[in-house]
Amino acid sequence: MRKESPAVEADEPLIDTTATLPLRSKRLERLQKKRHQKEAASKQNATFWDLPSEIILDILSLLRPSDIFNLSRVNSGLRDFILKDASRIAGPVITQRYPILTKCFPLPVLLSNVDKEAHSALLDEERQANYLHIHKKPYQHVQTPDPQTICTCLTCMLAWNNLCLLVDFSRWQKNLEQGEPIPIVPRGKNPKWNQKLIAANATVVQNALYNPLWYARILEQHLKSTVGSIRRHGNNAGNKRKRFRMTIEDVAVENDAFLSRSGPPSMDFPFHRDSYYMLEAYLPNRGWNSEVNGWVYMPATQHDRDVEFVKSWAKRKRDIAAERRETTEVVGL
Amino acid sequence: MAASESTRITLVSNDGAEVHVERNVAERSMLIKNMMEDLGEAAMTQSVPIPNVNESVLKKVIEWCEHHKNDPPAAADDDSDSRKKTTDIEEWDQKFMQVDQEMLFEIILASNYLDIKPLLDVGCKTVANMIKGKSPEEIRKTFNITNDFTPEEEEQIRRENEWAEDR
Repeated sequence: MRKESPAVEADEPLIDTTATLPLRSKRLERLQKKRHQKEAASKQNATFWDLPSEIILDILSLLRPSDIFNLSRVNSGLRDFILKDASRIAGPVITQRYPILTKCFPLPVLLSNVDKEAHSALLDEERQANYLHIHKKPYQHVQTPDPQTICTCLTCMLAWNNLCLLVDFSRWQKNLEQGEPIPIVPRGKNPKWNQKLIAANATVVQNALYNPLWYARILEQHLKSTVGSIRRHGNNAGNKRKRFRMTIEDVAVENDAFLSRSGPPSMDFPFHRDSYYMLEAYLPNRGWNSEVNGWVYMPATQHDRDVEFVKSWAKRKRDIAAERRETTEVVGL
Repeated sequence: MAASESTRITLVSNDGAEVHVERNVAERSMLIKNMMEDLGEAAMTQSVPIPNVNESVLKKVIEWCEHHKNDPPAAADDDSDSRKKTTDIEEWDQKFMQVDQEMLFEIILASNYLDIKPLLDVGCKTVANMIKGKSPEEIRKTFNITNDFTPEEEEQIRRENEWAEDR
């Protein structure tokens, strides 16, 4: 036996066949179940995805619109969530960060949201060609809106022009910061690069018509342009014009609260890119009221009043035409 | 008031651990506060189960409640004011929130469950600060999120968002 044993060791490696004793008792089962439960409960695996959607919305409401755009590019889940809840996300962001800018720059109303009765009046060829001419043709930096898409009452026309202007103004901030001249477009010309640029600006504003996150993003960008412009002009010792008081803290909070202070009013629309050099805080649709010591804004009902005005203009036009027809018939008789 | 400050109650986490805490500290949680009011004297003798929170998270939450036990109640309009700046977290809370990410999310979930609004706000602000100013790739790295877009989808989204991002 002693001689065989080394051979056996070489051929067959030792295998431990000891099996665990089957332990079966109700007490043990209870103990094991409790241990597993405790392990599962102690295990901390919470991730961003474990947060309920209400909390994710709360987190997003604290972000800048540009951060929300970055977040929407992280993965498809976040993108779907953000796109689906764009209104619920953008609402608190605008209320907390841009309560003033949103009053100065209302969105134009979509034509589909305007009373159907007013459509023919708004789209009237004579009105489009003659009465709105002044708000369309002269601008090299603003693309004319599609009257089939947005309402073209005076308020909405100006709202469209203002938003396109904000996008365009933001594009030239680098030039203004670095003191590089903005290329001039000769009168009567519209080079390809400018057509492309104003079309791209119009696309941004069109996005804002349907997605409030884009609207919030435009307001964020205008706050940035405004802060940059006030700082730039403030650093220019030769420029003694009255301006909004803006502290380092005001800039750090990244909201428009400091624009509620008294400051120069924005009376004129910057009709040409040449105006950008001296433009500081462009905040239309409000006026300073010294009695209340604060800004008074354009009423939110202005669009409705303008639509009513267009409707009554169209009615007058119809009545005059009918009167003329009657007169012609009488004369003919 | 003095009596309730010295009264201690026992909370039981979901992994069976008992945590003894002063009543006024525990009552930073509106859930526990309401429970105490409903149970009355019985709450003093019985332990209070907290089924959605484990021991380590519960102790962490109690640590926060302990530090903030004398905070004045938030005014109704405090909410919008405090949110004006996302980075605005007081120093002690910033240090308190220097925990691993799993613990951070557990604290947020626990404060939501226990209804401790100021702690929930601090948690949300901490996460917001982790996102702020980061590129999509940096956000993915921060939260260990996998990019499931195809290169074509990514390119299309980048083109669509060009103006919104490249500023």
